[in-house]
Amino acid sequence: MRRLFERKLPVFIIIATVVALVTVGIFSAANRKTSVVENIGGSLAMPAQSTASGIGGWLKGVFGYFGDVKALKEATETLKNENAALQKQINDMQGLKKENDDLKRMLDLKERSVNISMVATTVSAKDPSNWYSSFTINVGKNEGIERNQPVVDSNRYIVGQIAEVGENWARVMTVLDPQSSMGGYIRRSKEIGIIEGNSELKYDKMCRLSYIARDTDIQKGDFVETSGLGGIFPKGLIIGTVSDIYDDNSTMSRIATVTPLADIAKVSDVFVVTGYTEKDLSIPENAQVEEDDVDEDNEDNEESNE
Amino acid sequence: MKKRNVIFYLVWLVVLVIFQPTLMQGIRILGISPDMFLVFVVCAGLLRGRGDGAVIGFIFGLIFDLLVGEFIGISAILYMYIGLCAGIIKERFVNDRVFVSALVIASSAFVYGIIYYIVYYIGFKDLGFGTALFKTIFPKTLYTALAGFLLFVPIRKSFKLIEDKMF
Repeated sequence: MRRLFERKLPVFIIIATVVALVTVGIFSAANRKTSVVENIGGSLAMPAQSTASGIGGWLKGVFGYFGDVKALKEATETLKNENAALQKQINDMQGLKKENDDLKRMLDLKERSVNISMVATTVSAKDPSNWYSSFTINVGKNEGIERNQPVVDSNRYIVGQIAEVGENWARVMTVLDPQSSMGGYIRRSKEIGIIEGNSELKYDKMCRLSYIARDTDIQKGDFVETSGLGGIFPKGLIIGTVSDIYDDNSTMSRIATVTPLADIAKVSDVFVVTGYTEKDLSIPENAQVEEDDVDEDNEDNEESNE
Repeated sequence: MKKRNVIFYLVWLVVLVIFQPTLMQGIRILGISPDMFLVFVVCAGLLRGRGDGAVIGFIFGLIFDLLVGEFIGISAILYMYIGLCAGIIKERFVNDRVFVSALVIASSAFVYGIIYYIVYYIGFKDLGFGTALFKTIFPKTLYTALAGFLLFVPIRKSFKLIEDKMF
């Protein structure tokens, strides 16, 4: 049997090479759908991977406990200082908020509120190859998960988006992954661009904001959030802050490197945004009318008193 | 094909599918984890010869590709040739020495990394060779070789439990 196989080994190798090359060609195409084999395999592996992931997390927690004590003391001191500074900022900002509300009322700006429906889940497995930035979560089609839905952490900072979906699992492509792409919006200057993953920046846990005009007002530290263009992502989910800005001579535009606020390397609990609705919270026009009416009434009263 | 050989390889496959994306990612150093699929394929070639090495390399590589979800088939080809080469080394030169196995694993991991980088670069075109070499390929080669050095003996013991050859 062994000799028979060894005579057939060259044939097996040639056929296997051709088959594998064909699959590389077919499955490397962008935006491909999840194959049946992947779906079944993922579904079968999910319970065991979830358990193994839990054991790994527990071991990490046990070994990390003693090292964490010193770090916790330092963190407490830092947090105390930060707390005092933040308290002062809150006091200052309360005054600014009131002023801002008054100004908005005067300008009749439309303020929107986004109601987001989310599915909570945990990371069960990570990219095993180290070439990409993705992870698997233990919810899928059964929980209403669909491709391209945004994934956020507990602070509602963008982590990534759904790349593939199985029955009870989904693969999340983080914003650091070279295939990741979404609309970005610079909060301060109200300019838009495209947030893209980049293989070089991935090592520094950063992504980039591309296709922004040369004359765009952008500074280090500016907040970048989802633009909401395209209707897939809700507007206003924070992605990160601008770390660096440089000109891209090939496209005559500017590129900003962005550091995501979500701790993507350590994220363990995430939420998939399965839907959202936007409410218009602008102050109704008749509210202004009522105020005007009150003013007129006062004037009438003053006249009658005279 | 002996039934118990198939079960033996299936058990190893299940173990690797569960632990490579979970526990192995929990022991990352500088963002790099050891490639236990490659370690096992080289061990299969070194301990069982070119037939087992090539077939196990192809099947395990395909499963690894499905786990990664990108360029499906590339690891199947590379692991198949790595398993084949490990089998040839076993048959012509040496057999089951720990140091040799670590050396073969390191060489295989390095060649795999270089070829995977070429495919990756064709696909994405945004990663310099220097960055890939020093931040992924070299660290992964060293880490995988170390894992192979430490785990070769337990893997060899598991192989010795199944004395009959697969083909």
